Amino acid sequence: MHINIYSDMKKIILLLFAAAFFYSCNKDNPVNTETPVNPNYTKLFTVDSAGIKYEFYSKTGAILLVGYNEIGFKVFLNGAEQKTGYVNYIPVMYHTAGPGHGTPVSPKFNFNDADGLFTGYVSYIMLSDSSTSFWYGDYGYNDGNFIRHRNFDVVQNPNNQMRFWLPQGSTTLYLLTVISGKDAKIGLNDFRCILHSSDDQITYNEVDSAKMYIKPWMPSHGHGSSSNTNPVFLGNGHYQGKANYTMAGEWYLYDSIEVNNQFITPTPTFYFIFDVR
Amino acid sequence: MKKIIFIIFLSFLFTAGQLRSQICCGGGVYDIAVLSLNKKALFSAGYKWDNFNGVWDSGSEWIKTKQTNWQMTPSFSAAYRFNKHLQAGVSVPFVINRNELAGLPSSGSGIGDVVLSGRYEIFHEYSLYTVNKKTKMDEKTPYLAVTFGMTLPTGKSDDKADSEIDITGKGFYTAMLGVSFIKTILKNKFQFGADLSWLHSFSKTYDEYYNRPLTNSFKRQLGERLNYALTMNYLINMKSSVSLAFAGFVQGNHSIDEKSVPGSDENSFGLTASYTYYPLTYIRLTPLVKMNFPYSGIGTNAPGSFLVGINLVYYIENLDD
Repeated sequence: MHINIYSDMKKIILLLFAAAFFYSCNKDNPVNTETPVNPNYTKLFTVDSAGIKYEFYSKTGAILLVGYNEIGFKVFLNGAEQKTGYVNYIPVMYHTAGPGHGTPVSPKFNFNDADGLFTGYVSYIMLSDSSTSFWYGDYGYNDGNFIRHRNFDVVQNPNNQMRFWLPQGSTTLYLLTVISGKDAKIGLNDFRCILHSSDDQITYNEVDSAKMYIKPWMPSHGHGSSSNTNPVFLGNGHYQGKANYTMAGEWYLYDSIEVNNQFITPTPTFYFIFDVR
Repeated sequence: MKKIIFIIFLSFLFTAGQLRSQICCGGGVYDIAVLSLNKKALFSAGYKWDNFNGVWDSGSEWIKTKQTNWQMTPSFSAAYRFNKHLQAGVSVPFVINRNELAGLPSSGSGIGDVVLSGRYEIFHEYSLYTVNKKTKMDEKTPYLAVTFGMTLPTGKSDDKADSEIDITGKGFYTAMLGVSFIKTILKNKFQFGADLSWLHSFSKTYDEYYNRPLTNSFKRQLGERLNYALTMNYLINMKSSVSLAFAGFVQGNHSIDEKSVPGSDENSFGLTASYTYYPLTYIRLTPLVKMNFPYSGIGTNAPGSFLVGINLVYYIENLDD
C-alpha cells in the first residue's frame, strides 16, 4: 500500500513536469512568422499608438541625413505584421519662424519581399536643430491607421548634393538630388539622381519625363572627358548615367535638363562637385 | 678646345631635354637637338617611357595613381648649324598611350606635336681672340644663347580624339623664347648651366569635343608658362660624363572664353640624372632617368611621373670652322 502511494505520486510529478516543460517550450519558442529584414537596413526608431506600430529602418546609416535616404518600414496592427498594401510617410518641417514645408519622399512605400520591409526613399532638404527647425512625421498604412506628428532628427551630411532652382518665368520649383557617385573614383562612375518639382513646397512630385545631358569638367585643368553616358529615366523620378573622371582632383558635373522639349535648367547650368580619388 | 665644346654640348643636351620633360596632359616629352660648334648636323633617335604615378591637385595634395598609366615616346630629331651663331632643329615624336581603367579604351597612339627649335649663340666659352697680334683664349665669358621655338599641333588633341587615350598632342600652337647660360667652374671637369624659357600658347576654339559637335563652342588658352632648369655636368673622361638637372615650371591660370579661371595655375619640379657615353666622336648614347618627388606641397594641378629614356645621336662634323 505504501509503495503504491509513492508510485502514484511519482507518476503525478512526472505528468506535472512534462506539462510544465511543454507549456514553457510553447511560450518561449513560438513559431516565428515575422519577415526577416535585409541586414543592410538599420532600425532607427519605433512609433506606436493604440495597437498600431511602425518600425522605421534606414539603409543609408544609423542616423537620418540631409539628402537622399533609402528607408523602410515594418507595420504591426494589433501585434500582427502586415506584408501587403503600402505605407504612407509624410515628413514635414516646422520652423519657429516662417512657414513649414515638406520634402521629397516616396508617394507610397510598397512591401518588398527581398528586404522584408515597405521600402522607398526620402530626401530631407534640411537638417533639424533643437531651437528653430523640427522634423515631424505622419505615418499611415493603406491611407489609414495614422500616427501623426512624431518628432525625429536629421543631421547634416557633408556628402549631400542637392540643387534647387526656379526656371525662368516659372513658379515651379525643381530639385535635383544626387543619389550615387559621391565617392567618385578615377574612370567611369555611375551617376544616379532623382528629380522633383513642387508648386507649393509642401508636396514634391517625381519628374518622370526629363532628358538629361551631363558634362564632367575639371576646372583646374580646363578639360572635360569622353565616354560619358547621359542619365536615362529608370522610374519614379530616378535617372542613371555614367560620368568619366579621367584624373584625380576636383571635377564639376554639369547637368542640363529638358522637360517637355524645353530646357528647365539655366544657361550655363548648375553643377555638382566631386573630389575624385 | 674640343673638350670644352664637348662639355658645352653635353650640358645643352641635358638642360634642353629637361626643359621639355615637364609637358603634361598629352604630347609627351621631347629631345631638343642642339649642336656644338664643331658639329654641322645631327640625327637622333630617342625613346622615353613616362610612368604617371600620381597627380598634385589644386590644393597641392599628392594623389597617387592606382591604375597602370604610362606614355611611351619614340622620337626622331635633326639639327643643322648655319654658322657660328645660329642653329635650328626639329623633333618628331610618336606617342603611345596606355591607361587601364575599367570600361574605357586602354591604348592609343599617333604622331605627337612637332617641335621646331633654334638658338642664337651670342657668346661661346673659351673663344679665341687677338690682342696685339697674339691669339688668346677668353676664359671668363660664359656661354650665352637666345633660344626660340614653336610647337606645332600635329598630334591629335581632345577635340578630334575619340577618347583620352587617343590624345597625342596639345591641339594648339605654342611659341617659346628663352635664354641659355653655361659657365665652366672647373676646366674639363665641372660646369654649371641655367636655362629659362617663356612659353606662350595660342588660344584654340573648340567646335567639337571628343569628336562630337558642340552646341556652344568655346575658346581655351593656357596660361603663360616659365620653364626653368639648373644643370650640373661632370666630365668623367673624354668618353663619358654624368649630369644632374633640377628643372620645373610655373604656369598661370588658363582662360576659357577669355576669362581667367581662378585656381588653375600649375607648377611642379623634378630631378633628371643622365649618363652619356661617346663610343666614337660622331656617336653619343645617353640613358636618363627623371623623377618627380611624390609628396604634397611641391606641385599644383600637375601630373607626376617616373621617366626612363635613352637617346642615340649621330653627328656630322663641321668642317667650316
